[in-house]
Amino acid sequence: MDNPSKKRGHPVTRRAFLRGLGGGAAGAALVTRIRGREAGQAGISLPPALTHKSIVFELNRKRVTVEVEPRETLLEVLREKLKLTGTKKTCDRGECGGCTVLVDGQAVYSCLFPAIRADGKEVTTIEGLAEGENLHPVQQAFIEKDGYQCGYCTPGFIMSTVALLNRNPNPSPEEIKSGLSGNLCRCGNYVKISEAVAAASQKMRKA
Amino acid sequence: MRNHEYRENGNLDYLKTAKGKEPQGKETTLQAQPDFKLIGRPTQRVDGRLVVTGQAQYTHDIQFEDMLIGKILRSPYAAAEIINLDLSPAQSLPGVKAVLKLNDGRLKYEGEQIAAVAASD
Repeated sequence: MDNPSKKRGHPVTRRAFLRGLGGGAAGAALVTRIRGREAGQAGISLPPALTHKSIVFELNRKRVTVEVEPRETLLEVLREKLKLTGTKKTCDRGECGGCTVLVDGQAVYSCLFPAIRADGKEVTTIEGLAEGENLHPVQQAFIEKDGYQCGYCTPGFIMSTVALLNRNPNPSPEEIKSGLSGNLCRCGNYVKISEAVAAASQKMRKA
Repeated sequence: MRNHEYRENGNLDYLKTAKGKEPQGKETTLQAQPDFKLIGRPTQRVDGRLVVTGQAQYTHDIQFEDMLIGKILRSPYAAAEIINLDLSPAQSLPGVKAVLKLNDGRLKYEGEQIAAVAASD
């Protein structure tokens, strides 16, 4: 054994695990082999495993077509392929909410959402809220109420707020807390964020 | 209003309680509070629009043409000895532009850097 340190190995990372699961080319090839063998025994033939797929979806009111791999998250496709970096990659494991976007009006963590599932859906990111020069009322309220400090978590908070106010136009302070409980702000600006949400709710009900 | 008038009005009470030396120097005329332009007035931050529209650029958002992505391999052990470090598998992967050995002796803490790689994606 020429490399004993290697044998003890590295812990399996989430990324490596996902890749092995059938995301990447190697994983996909492996899956094909296993499925092929089973299929051979059963006497049926299966199509080759998917390595790439062209998906079409509505992004910020524009139709986009993009080639994705099954392992890619919506977050990665938005940031790296479509160059929309307003959606933040922070924890990349569904804890912080920095990557929140709307899929068919519902707030989702784009870091946990396979890009391939966006096919045919309507996706809204922070870049798609304003209409030209006119900010969305939630965006206005976050500026007016100073609902951010460093601003890094803000796109996620704003997207969660939009989803919250769409399903509950007049949330109580408790409902605001629970509605935004999937988003973290490390500056600890929660008080001002809640004020911004309440102000936005008022603005939108008046409008 | 003059400095001493503020004092007499109790606006600078802390100077009395501090019992220290009063600031010396030229008497200056201070603006009356209602005339303050910035203090006590809400001010919108200059980066507000950028932040709420997702246009504000943070380090992770900056992308250059032909930019490489770097990653550091770190020790999973608190105390260990590197017996052999083979960089060639990493070097032979497509897209990898550079692999660096950062350590080849004793590792003294978990997370200590071992090697670095820079690749096109």
